[in-house]
Amino acid sequence: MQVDREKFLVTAIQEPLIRVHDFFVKCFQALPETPIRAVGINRDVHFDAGSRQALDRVGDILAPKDVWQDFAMRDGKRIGGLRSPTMEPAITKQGQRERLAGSPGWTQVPLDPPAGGVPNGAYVQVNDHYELTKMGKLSDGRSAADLVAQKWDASIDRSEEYVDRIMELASDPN
Amino acid sequence: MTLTEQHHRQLDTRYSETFATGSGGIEGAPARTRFNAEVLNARQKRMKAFVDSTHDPEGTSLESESLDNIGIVQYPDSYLETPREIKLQEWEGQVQEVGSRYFSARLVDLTAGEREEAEEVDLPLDDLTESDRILLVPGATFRWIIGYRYTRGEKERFARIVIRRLPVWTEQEIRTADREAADLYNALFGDPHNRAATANRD
Amino acid sequence: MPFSEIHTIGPPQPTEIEVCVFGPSFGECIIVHLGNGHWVVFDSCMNHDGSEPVALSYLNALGLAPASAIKAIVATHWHNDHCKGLARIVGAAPAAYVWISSALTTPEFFRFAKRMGKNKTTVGGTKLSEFESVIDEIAARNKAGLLTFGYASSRMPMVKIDAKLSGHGWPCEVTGLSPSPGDTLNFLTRIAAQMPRVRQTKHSVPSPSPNDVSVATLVTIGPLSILLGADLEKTGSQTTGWNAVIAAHHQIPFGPNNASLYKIAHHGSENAHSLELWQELLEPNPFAVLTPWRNGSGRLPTGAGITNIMTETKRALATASEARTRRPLKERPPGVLRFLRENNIRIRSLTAPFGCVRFRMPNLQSGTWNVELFRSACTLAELARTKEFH
Repeated sequence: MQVDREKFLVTAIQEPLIRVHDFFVKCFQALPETPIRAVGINRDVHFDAGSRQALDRVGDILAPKDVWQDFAMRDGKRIGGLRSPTMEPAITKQGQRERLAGSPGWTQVPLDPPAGGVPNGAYVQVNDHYELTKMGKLSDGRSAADLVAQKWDASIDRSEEYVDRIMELASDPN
Repeated sequence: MTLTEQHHRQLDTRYSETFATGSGGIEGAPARTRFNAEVLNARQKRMKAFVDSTHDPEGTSLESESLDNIGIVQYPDSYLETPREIKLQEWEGQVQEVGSRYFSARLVDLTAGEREEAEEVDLPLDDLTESDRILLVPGATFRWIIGYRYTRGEKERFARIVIRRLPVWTEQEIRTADREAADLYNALFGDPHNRAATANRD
Repeated sequence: MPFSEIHTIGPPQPTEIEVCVFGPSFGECIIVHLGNGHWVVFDSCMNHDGSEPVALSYLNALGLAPASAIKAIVATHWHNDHCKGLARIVGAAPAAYVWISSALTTPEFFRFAKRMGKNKTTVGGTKLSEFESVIDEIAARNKAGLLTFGYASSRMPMVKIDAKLSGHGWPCEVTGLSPSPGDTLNFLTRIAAQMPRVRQTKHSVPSPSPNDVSVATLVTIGPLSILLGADLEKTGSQTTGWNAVIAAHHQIPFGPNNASLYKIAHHGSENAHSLELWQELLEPNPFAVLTPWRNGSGRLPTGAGITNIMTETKRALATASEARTRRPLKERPPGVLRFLRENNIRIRSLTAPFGCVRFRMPNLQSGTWNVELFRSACTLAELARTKEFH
């Protein structure tokens, strides 16, 4: 758990992840007046693609190398590839970014090399951001608790689906 | 004293405890947090450079933290020290009975995407942590997970039972529920003609 | 006989009386044909594959439309585990009168149900969804100006069919025997103790026991009486349970004749065994039928319960020979199955081997019941011999 003036962060690195939901909701039920600007439900997954070829397959599908020949190939050998793409729907409504489902916020899916030394690994982070301010007015802990209670299951399910989509790219189509 | 300052003070004096328990289930493990000024400075410089280039002050992702207000000193994360887990099976269970050595429970198979109880099991009390034993009463909800864990290249199977610390009923929920109940009751029974003793309708 | 054969004999004749007892399966269901196409459904459970309430499956299998066939629905349970599918039956028969135990129509229980309904955090839910759906259905009917519900209690007449309309020339009546005022008070006291409160940790509703709101009923068709015991038990008090029913019967007898058919109360438990009931409300050696039940290590009927019943009648039957099916383990990753095996953990399916006992009386004058057993139904003597109930 990490708490500072700007942010309250609770993380689980072991299953069950539902503990994050339970802890957060209980915390802000006990702190209903806390001013809250936004809530992010994030899901991070390190995965091992299994081989260099499989990892390259992921990158080649996300960013075909036809345009980037000199970045990717030299003398028939692979020398580079995709590094850190981020996918995000860019919907704005009345000057505010909007989620796919229509509420203020956004969903971002960055894909990075793993933080540690995992050969052939990739790190997928899904940031499911819910903006809670309205007309510049901050929301409160009560609303944040309610939001997480309502949105947690669907958010995690969606995030798992995004991660699965990327992991499936590593599979050999043959 | 503001709430945030209170958190800073508590964290400064008890940060090792916080890290030992902060991520669920590592109670008793030696604290991984140490002050190492050189490492910290180097990390802060790297992070600041990264954050300056990507900083989104409005964001809620991990990379959007503001460095000026970091209240916790953290040893650099090492991927290999954090065990990776692959979940094979997860159930949500509701405790039915608690015996002297086992407790019985009904299970919802979350891995299969089910939403109703379709199985039951007897599980040993010894598989619970001491803090969870106290919460084990009929009606308690728990998660039961079986999977593989990778620690420093070694693979081992694990199983974990964790009692959920469910949220509480809030004043607003109770008030709304009572209002809905009163509205429904009045809609059904408010009119005395609605009271049924008329079995002669057939 | 397989359940698929249930339709081959066809629906009962207009002059024929029928009682079908289904279970176990997250509850039990009794469906009664009073004559001339008038059906009454008591409680609900799902059919053998869990796809549909058995009452609807059964009527459809007989070629009958539930919407026109079902004249009344009596709900004696409020917990999902004991009345699964009830809301669908209510929805499928919009003209049927719905009788709910009087204790469930109090402001306190409505408040309890609504407060519990605010707990959306667990996957399995609060176990009140069937009751809430039934009430929603009733509220919708009420809004449409249809007065088709009532609350059942002791001496409440729930169905009356005039002799001219019954098909066989005898008047029919379905009368509630319970809950008594004492039962209602006990129930509300227990609900008050479980009432969700502000800042209390959310929880699900444990399965209710005893079932204080149980609606035992007496069906009288001319000279014939049928006693449906629901889950009523014998308590220590004279003002609750079967003691209250017997006391009321002593004051004013419930019916002219003792019952020749008895749906045994509370799965044949020892707690539901009342000697006075057998002696004062039932004929000697009546037909009796129960649905077995299992929850964790608990099983009903117990051996002692079986002995009690078989002392009173030689014509006792059960809808299933086991309370739980011995289905093979669900397909799961090898690592999971290995773990379960190595740690001697057995996961049991909650699905039960579903069965049905059907009673038909073609001729009221003869007073003779024809009995058919479907799927895993058996005699109580056979049930007693199975390993499960030793």
